[in-house]
This record gives sequence, C-alpha cells and structure tokens, in this order.
Amino acid sequence: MKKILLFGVLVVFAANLFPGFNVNHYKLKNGLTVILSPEKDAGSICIMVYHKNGVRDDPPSIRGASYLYQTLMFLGTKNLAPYERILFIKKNGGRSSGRINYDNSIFYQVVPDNDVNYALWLESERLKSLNLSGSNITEQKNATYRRIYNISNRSVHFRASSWINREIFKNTVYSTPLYGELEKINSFDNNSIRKLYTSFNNPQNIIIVISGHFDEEDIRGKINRYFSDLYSAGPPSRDILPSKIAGEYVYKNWMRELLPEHFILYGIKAPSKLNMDYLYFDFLKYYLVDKRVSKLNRIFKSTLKMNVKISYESSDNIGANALIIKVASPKRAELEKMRIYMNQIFSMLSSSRLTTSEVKAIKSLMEVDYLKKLSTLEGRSHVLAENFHISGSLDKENNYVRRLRKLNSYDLQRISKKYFTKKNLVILNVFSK
Amino acid sequence: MNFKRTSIIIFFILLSSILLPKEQYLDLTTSKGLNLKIVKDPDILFTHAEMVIYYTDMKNPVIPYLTFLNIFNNKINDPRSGMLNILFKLGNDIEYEYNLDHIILKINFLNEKIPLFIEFLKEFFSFKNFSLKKFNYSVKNFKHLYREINDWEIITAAQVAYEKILGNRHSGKFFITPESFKNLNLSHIRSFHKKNYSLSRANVVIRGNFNPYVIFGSVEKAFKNFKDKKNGIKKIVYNTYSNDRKVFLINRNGNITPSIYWFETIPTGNNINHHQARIINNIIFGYPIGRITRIASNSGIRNFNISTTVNNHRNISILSNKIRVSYINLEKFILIADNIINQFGAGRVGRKEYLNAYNYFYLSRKVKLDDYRYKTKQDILSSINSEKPGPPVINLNNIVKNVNFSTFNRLLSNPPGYYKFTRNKKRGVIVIVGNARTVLKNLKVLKPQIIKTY
Repeated sequence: MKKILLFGVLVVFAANLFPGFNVNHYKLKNGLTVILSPEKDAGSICIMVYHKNGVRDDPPSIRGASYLYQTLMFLGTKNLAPYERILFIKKNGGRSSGRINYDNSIFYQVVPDNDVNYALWLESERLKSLNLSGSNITEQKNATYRRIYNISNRSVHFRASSWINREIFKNTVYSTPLYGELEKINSFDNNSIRKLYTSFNNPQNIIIVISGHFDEEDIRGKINRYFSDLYSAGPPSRDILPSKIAGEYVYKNWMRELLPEHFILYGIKAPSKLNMDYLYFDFLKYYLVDKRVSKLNRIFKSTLKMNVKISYESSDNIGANALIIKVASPKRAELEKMRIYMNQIFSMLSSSRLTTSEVKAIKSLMEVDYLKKLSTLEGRSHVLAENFHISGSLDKENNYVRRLRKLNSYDLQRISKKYFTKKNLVILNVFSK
Repeated sequence: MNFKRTSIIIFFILLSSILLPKEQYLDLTTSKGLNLKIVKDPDILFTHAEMVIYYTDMKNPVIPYLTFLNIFNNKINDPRSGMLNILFKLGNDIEYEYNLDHIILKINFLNEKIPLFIEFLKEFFSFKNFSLKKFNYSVKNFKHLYREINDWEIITAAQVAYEKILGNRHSGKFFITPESFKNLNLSHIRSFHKKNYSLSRANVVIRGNFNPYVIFGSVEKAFKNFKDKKNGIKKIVYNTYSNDRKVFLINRNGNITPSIYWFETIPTGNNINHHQARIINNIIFGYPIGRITRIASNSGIRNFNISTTVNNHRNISILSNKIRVSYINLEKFILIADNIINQFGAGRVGRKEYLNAYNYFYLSRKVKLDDYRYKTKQDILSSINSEKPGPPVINLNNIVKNVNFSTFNRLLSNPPGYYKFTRNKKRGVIVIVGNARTVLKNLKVLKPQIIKTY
C-alpha cells in the first residue's frame, strides 16, 4: 500500500497533475466573444463558432427552422459555390462539422495551422453571406421533410423515441422535435427563416473559440479583419433558465405488425445542465447504461444470460434533459422478466448505496472521458464555449474534475431518490402482434 | 532514513522532469523480454496505453478468436476474473482491435492508476483462468459473440481477401468456416495462449505526462519474479503474397447498399515507399478528388463514396478502399476503376495532380498528429518493425525530405516489389458485399466467386 502511495506521489510530482490550459477571452466592439486557447506544439488549429441560439429561440410558428441552417451552410455563400467549403477543408486534410441543438449550435473546422486565414474567411462567409435564396431554403425544407418522413415510416423505434421525448418534455420548448413538426416543415415561411438568421448570426450571440497552434497577436488581427464588421439588428438571445418538467407518470402500450423484436422504452426526466444534480445524474447514466461499465448489461447479459439488447439515448440540452433506455428482445417472455428486474433495479438505486469500488471505477471512467474530450481541439473548444455560455467564466473545467472527485454514494442515493421515481418515468412498451 | 531516501528520489525525479525535453521516448526491453515504449507527452492529460500481439500460429483462424473471448468476454467471465476486475477498477475504457493475425488492446486511464495498469499487465501475461465450462460456452455461442466484437461485413471481406493475398502464410487460414470447429478442444486454446500471449511477443506503448524512467522501473520490478519462456518475436516475412485479380461475392440479406472492398498490398508503414504508395492511392481512389471519383461522376454514376483504411502488418500493409455504390452501377464502377488503374502504369502523373494528392496526404497527417491515438499508432508501427529506439523513423520531416515529385515519378517507372502497375493485367482483390441475387442480376462481365460465410 505504502509503495502504491509513494508511486502516486512520484507520478503526480512528475506530471504536474492537471496542467490547465492557457486560455483568455475578449470581446469585439460588436459584442462577439472570442476565446483563445493557444497550444504551441500543435500542428493544427480549431476554429469553432458557437451560437448561443438554437431551436429553442425559434418563433413558435417556425420552431425547427434553425435546424435547416445545418444543411444550408453547405449550399454556398456570396463567394463560395455549393459544397466548396467542405471540399476545401477536406482537400487540405482537415475535418469539419456542424450541429444545431435546442440551446446552442456549433460549427467547427480543424485544419492545418497554415490554413487558419482561409478557415476564418470560410466562417465569416457563412455568417455574413449565407445563400438563403428561396430555392435553397425550399430545397432544404423538402429534403428534411422527405428524410424525416422516410425514417418515421420505416422505423418504429424512431416513432417511439419521438413520442417518448414529447411526453417527457411536455409543455416545454423541447417537446417539439429539433427539425420541427413534420407536417409544418414545408409550410415554414422562407422570409421568416431569413429574418431568423439575423438573430442567429447576431455577434452578441456568438462565441468564437480558437484553439491549437497560432500566434496570439496575429490571430487577434485576423479575427478583427473577418468579424468586426459582422453586424445584426437582431436581439441578443435570452438567458437559458431550467425548464420545469411536469412530474407525471405515463405508461403506454403499442402493438405493431411484424416487428423483429419487442422493446420497452424507459424515459427518465433528467436535470438541466444548470442544475448541480446534473453531474450525479450523469454518473447514474454511466452506471446503468454506458457499455463499458453498464450494470444493466452485466445483470441481464452476463449474469442472467438473457437474450436482450440494451441501448440508450440521452439529450445534451442546457435547460432540461432526458435519458431514454431501450431494452429489446425477440422473445416477449424475456422482456416481461426483464421488466420486473428493471423495476427492482430502479428501486434499489434509491434504497441502497452503490459499492465503493463501483463508485471509484465509474468516477475514473468519467474523468478519463472528460480529459479525452479536452485532449482534442474541438472537444476542448466545445467545453470552453459551453461553460462560458452557461456561467460566463472559463475556469469551470477544473470545477468538473474537483466536483467529480468529491462525489460519493450518499449523493448518488439522494439523486436516485429524486429522479428514479415512478412520477419521473415515461414508459412505452412496443410489442409485435 | 526512509524519509531521506524518499526525498532524494523525489528530488531526482523532479529534476529530471524539469531538465528532460518535452516529448521524451524511453524505448527498452525489460529483463524478462517485454518490449516497452514509454512516451512522456505533456499534451495528454491521462494515460493511453496500447499493446499489440502478433500471432505466430494461425493454423485454425477460430482459435485466436476463442482465446480472446475466453480471456476478455464479460458473458464468459461472470463473475469477473481477477484481470477483468482490475480493468474495471481502471475504468474499463478498453478497446480491442482485432486484425486477423494480431490484436491491439487500447486502454485509457488516469495517471494515478498506473500501478493498477501494471497489475493488469501481470494478470494478463499470467492468465490461467481457462475452463471447460467457459470454453464450451464460447464455442456454443461463437456466432453471436463473434458478431459482437466485429463489424461482420468488414471483417468477413478482409478474411476472404487475406486468405487470397497472404494465403501461403499461416497455412493460409484466415477465413472461418464450419470446418474450423471440428476437433476443437480446450487444449488448443491453452496452447495458443501459451505460445502467443507471452511477454517477449508483446509490444507495449504507454503515452502520458509522467516520468518514463519511473514507469519503466515499476514494470521491471513488477515482473521480477516472472518466468518468461523467452518465446521471442519471430520476424514475419510476407514474401509469398498474391495480388492477382480475383473477385469475390459475399451475400448479405436485407435492403442494403452494396459495398466494394478493393484490397491492395503496399510496403509497410515504416518504409518511405509506403507513403508514396498512399499518394498513388490518393490519385487513383482519393475521394472527392481522385481520378476514379472524377471519371465515375462524369460517367453519370451518382451517390457513391470511397473511404480508405490501412492495416499495418510486419513487412507489409494492406490497403482497403471501400466503395458504396448502387447495384445498378456496381459493375460500371469496377470497370472504370480497372481502366484507370491499368492506364496509370503507362503514363506519368502531372505536377498539379501530384501536388493535390501530396497536399492531402501531408496535411491530413499534420492534423492527425495532434491526436494521441494516431501518434500511438505510429509508435506501435515503429515498434513492431523493430526500428531503432525512439520516435518513429518516418515522420513528417522525413516525408517532406524524401517524398517529392521526382522521387514519386521515379518510383512509378520502377515501382517497389508489390506495387507494380502492369498494363493489361488486372490487380487487386475485390470483395463485393451485398444481396447476392441482386448483385448477380446486375453483373454482365464480372464473374465473382460466391463465398459461403460462417
């Protein structure tokens, strides 16, 4: 034991434990926030544009319209032909992605450091002169409609998951799917979508994070050149407050023709990212369903050798969240047996504490996952931007590790009692006729 | 006295961590024969470790899988074995890359858990927890378990191709058939484990922000009482490969878009010609700017994409271009690609085309080298090819120095051993995966060999 302790001390001393990043931030005159995280040994650079807007900020009549910006960005700008942006990034060995969510939206590129000028220009093009012609918008509305319509027709799971999300988030902005109500997509007004973009690209709602290899002075000049003339009359986005989700138990059965397997969806209402409970709930998510340490997998598949599949989806919103666990089996009897066990597991979470070794192992895994995220330029940029969005400060990444390390089984039991209760559950059984 | 000694040790470690360069390689073999590469990398906030083991004995391709399952599978090992228990305490962030003739374990954990990782290594190399019950379960449920650890389509296509390309080695057994299960018993697993999973047959890379000397000392100490059979790494020479044209077809039911897997052999990753060959592949198969993409698009083939993966082996790498294309355009695509490859050997490559492919190749590496996983992959590659100790011999600077337009064209006129472009001789092993009936309905010229899968 002494030797292990001594070793720990030696490693800690040699490694400077948690170095932290060189991070600073400033604001342009137009209100745009810039976060710089230089790393002198990197060969690449990440340019992330984080919008503090998402589908949550869409007017109710066109809720889901922002989702279209995700694909519209590929269709060119004043100076770029369709797909030229992505072609340039790929040709130069970079990668890029974009995602519209409810509470925020991110677009990023990771490119070789020598391409920074061009990468910044690409982002400024997207912000300033995105091609929002009537034909482009209509084409994307049709494409989104067709895609969702096809998935919805093809996949019972998709329909079931949409239903359960709607029930969990009832009476909140999150109850509308990200892409909007399917039957309304085609009737979204093109002018309203164009107008919405002026709020979406309002510099007061944007955080640009630059991480990787760059010269700080040089990058400040470039950002000034490309983004200081970004102007919008739209209002700044509202602060996000936790959404109040009604505590109401919902239970429903669906019978469908010829399914390859029966399944049950357990929807659990989860805390918002603004809530201190979020970290503890996240732990319980790892404990139950993360395939590396999943208790459910262990009980059902390894110990009971049941022919079942366990999967999950969890939201990544700031204002309110949900965890949906899917258990599936080709044999209905197996699923019925499993249902009894699931009830026992949920009530056990509240009545007894997890073992110390389980808590320690999962804490390690969560910390490693977090550090892995910080090790990639886009992961680190995302953490920095989101923390800044939520708290307006940049030191939150250290808080996460500190809080995680303090977490104990008493906290977890308390959270289980709060969230793994009947009134917090929405259950949907989908059986084959 | 003890306190004084500890203080001195801490002082020297602190001093060495201040004085030593930022990224530091310690490349040594322990007294028990374990090849260990420890990399101090201050950019990584946790520890990433990889272990690769190349198999010598592949008489029956199912044996390595069963051995792996009996050691690592959670369903088979319930309650957890001592080794799996240690992995759980580490956080169980482990990934297994199963590559037919070798296996790579990739583990991430916190720096303070290094002693536990060393415990894991000890348990791994002294694993004895085989039993008839576990063995029987693994054989009975093999089909199910096997599909859980692999992407069935990719691994089956690779098995078919490897059997053709490297068929003369390992008694030519990569492809699993029902025959593979005949006369199997527990002793096969035990003896495979004994022969292959030994200290001196493994290469371990540990990357993190720590003092490498401390880690090396701890590993050395942990294995002090270990008996290794000194079953050293045999140099595997892939000199009997076959890359003559062969087209195979694997049936996959359901409403799926078919895939074409186009396999080629190229020099191994620590050979500068490997990089030239990758540039050649970019010019031919590169997506979205390669010749095939351009010509196929101009010929009216829409909605296809190409992705390339490379599997590194000792002395050889196998490159696989995966093309997703509709049934109706399957044959047209293969014929266009064949035509382009045949023409390639005849003419020179223009500077602009070369620069586009080179640029992509060089810059994508530059971006990837910020990723600890990619860096570790290079470390593993240099370890298995027994390069000189230290950082990989082939690095970005080396590529810039040795790969240029004139060396590239020189290479084209006199290509290394296995990357010859011969006019009128079709090359590459092609494996088509899709609904066999629909594939055959759409083929007029090609006559693939239909493979019965396990």
